[in-house]
Amino acid sequence: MTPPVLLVSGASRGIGLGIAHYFLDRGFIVCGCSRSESALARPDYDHALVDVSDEKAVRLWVQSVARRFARIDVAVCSAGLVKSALLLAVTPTAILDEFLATNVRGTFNVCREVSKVMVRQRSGRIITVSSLAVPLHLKGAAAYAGSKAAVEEMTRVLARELAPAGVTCNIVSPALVMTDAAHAMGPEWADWLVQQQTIHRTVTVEEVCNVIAFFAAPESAAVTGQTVNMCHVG
Amino acid sequence: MTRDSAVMMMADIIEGLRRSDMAAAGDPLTEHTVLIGAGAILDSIGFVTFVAEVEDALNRDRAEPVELILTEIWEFNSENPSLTAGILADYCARLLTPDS
Repeated sequence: MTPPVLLVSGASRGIGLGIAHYFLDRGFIVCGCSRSESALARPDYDHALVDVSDEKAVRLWVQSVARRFARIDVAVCSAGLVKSALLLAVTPTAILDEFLATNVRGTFNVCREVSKVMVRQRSGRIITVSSLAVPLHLKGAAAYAGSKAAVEEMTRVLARELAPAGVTCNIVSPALVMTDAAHAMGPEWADWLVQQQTIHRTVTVEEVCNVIAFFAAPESAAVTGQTVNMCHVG
Repeated sequence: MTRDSAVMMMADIIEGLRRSDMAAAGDPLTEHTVLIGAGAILDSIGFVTFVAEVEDALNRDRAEPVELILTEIWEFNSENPSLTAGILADYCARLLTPDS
């Protein structure tokens, strides 16, 4: 039996890198992309240098994966921009534009190209990555949370559109994962964020991957348009 | 690619979709066949499948891929989508003309 093919954006570090490792460990062929080189060198892993906000680059990448493996079973839109921000009143519009370019436009581009592949094969799993900044309405996250809320809504609309083709679309909203980006925000910020959550602790990348694996499972064909907010009671 | 060859390509794609039960049975595709809009032969998912198949066919053996951008077809009004095979064939022919 041919191994399933998983495509993941933002695979060079953080949650995206963890997703690549997790699914490689479980026998998947993983095709990742990021703007920077990847240090991940494992059998069944293929990396492409792609800026997800570049629609032509995304199209070429997705088409090359689909041609090489003749299918894409799971796509995880993990590429995202995380950076410290200020209250909206003093946030430069350029910051908003950066979040929109990577988080919204990037997810849109990947979802569009993957959709065309999955609609033709009449099956597939699309999983987007949001943030607890959305349900928690975090101060200082107007631009970031706004972009992630857009990702969530886009995913739910896509779930309705692709349901007749047997493609599911779901959202994982991780609690705080101590990635390099989270470390860069400082320990005070991390402590404060954890206290906003219902379960007051960080989560591991493996715990996030467990949610993704649930959405990706063949047995989850009846689950679409759903969001799992980790460590949070909404 | 000429307009006529584009229509023939689309007709082949429609027949392929019909054989795979991805499009309803019906008359052979002509330039007058409505692809989307009132009287269309495809539902929305069928149209996505069709567009992906056409893109794939256009890009076969091409180093530089092309993409169907429906809003570039001036006859295609995105406020009230209606597209015939003939209009799409014109667009495909233009798309593959070297100086277009």
